[in-house]
Amino acid sequence: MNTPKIGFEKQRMVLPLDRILPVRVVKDPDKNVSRYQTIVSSIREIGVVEPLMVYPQKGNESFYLLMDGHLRLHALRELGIPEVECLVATDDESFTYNARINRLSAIQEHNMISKAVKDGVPVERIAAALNKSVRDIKARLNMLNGISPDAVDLLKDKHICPSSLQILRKVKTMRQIEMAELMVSANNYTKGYIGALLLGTPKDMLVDPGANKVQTKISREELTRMEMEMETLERDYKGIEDSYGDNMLNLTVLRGYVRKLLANVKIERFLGSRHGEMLVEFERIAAAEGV
Amino acid sequence: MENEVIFIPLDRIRVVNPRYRERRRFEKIIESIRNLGLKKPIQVSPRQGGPADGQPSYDLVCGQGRVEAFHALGYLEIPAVVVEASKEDLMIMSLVENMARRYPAPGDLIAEIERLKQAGYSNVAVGRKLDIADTMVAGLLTLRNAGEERLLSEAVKGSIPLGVAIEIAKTESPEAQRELLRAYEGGNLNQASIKVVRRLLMQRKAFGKRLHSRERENQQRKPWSTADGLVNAFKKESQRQKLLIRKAKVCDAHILFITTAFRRLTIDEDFTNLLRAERLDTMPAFLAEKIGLERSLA
Repeated sequence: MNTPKIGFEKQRMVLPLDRILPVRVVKDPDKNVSRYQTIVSSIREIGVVEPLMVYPQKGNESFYLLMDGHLRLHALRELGIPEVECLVATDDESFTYNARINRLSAIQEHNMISKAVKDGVPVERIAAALNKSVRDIKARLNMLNGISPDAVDLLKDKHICPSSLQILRKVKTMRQIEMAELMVSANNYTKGYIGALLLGTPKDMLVDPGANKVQTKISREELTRMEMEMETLERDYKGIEDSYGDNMLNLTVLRGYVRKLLANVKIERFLGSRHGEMLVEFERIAAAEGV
Repeated sequence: MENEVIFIPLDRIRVVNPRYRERRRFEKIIESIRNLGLKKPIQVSPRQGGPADGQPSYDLVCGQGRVEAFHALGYLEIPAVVVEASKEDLMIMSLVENMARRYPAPGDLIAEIERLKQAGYSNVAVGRKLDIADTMVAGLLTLRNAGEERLLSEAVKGSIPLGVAIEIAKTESPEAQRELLRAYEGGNLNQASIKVVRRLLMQRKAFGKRLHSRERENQQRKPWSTADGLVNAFKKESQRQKLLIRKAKVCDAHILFITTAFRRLTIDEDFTNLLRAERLDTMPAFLAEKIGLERSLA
């Protein structure tokens, strides 16, 4: 029978904080970031969710080395909570616990918060647990309003910030999907990039054709020039993007065939005497790496 | 009993608030569980109104990735901590577990390697604990001891192979570095890595081996909202698109030339006879189709 390896002992236990020894220092900058504050608020609201992972200190049975949960231990101390539930690990490494974490994208966070609210969890409690204001959470809930489900699907696991998503609202559905596709193919989700795409949006694809696309210090002329260039470029780009891959593949195969012919002395000689100009060009193409 | 981690059948667990997972990251979780085992139990809570077959069933509080990985590995049961809490509390716990946490930093791995080495473990033992090769442990330590923070950070992120980072660390003179770059460009290092190598050599020369704290901050925060930001993004994007358009044009021109040339060549019987004699008359299907011939001239 297929049995999994397990890296901890079955028995759970509650340890006083002063018997848990951190293996690294929680630095002060670490403490200031909002992430740490979120951990403090979450413990205040709901307690510690997962047990801390500890490992018995050699030669001193009553103390344990902390393998996972340094920020939580720090937060517990700050909150004056005297003890915490722990599990004993069977190995003394403290890296892998946090190394495989799958960071949530903005859209995933939105989906999880929405589901919780729909299932009846009060917004106030969510805000308190995540160290956010009620207004922040409500903004998170409305984040995808006015954004096409197809665009959302393209971006669901991408690290795009909520304020960048807001820019998508300024354009019509078709354009939203186009912009999302361009972001994915450029692997760029920065606000600057989305701004550039908005700039390349034809007026008739804007939700409000009269609105200013961007508010910047750039001169009107410069902006218009960039706008026009972006629009033309994008049209050309879209024209070739689909066929580009196939063509590259065909060219690679063709080039291989040409190389094979040129490697044959008789054929090379034949081409040289009868079709000299072709041979020159063939040689040039055969020598090209990629394009 | 109440304080014990218990094994729970995977098919009795319901994921209340599911999240989508990036494929590549998920595969790493599977890999880690296969090699190192499960490092911490999942959390579930007893479910009211599950299937009425007398067996207990559970709602998942946290550990969706671990449950899915166990499933993928063909296990039937998973170790779990059973918590009794209201539905509302469970949902909040699930949000907290996913959102209120520290994200891994590039320096975590080397810090842990150093800690374990100080505790007296061999490279092999450290590698086994962290599920990496002992040669990687040795390589990272070499970079660390040489003060090569830049190279270390790129190697841990995987943007250049560790071996390459170590080779760079050994070269000091500009000639040697140029030599190295040329070797990579001719060899099997991909374009993306070569770009990183170029950048690293420049940064290393200009700013030294160590990462400065200002730079560390900048790596995390990318400022935007200035006019410059927009113009830069615009320039980059238009360059990217122009390059691709140019490449596509060259590609089309080459294809057109080859097909036209062969259309003419195949009219010349001496040429087709020669191809046949040299057994080179089987053309790529695409070419044969383009010039309106059967795949083989025979």
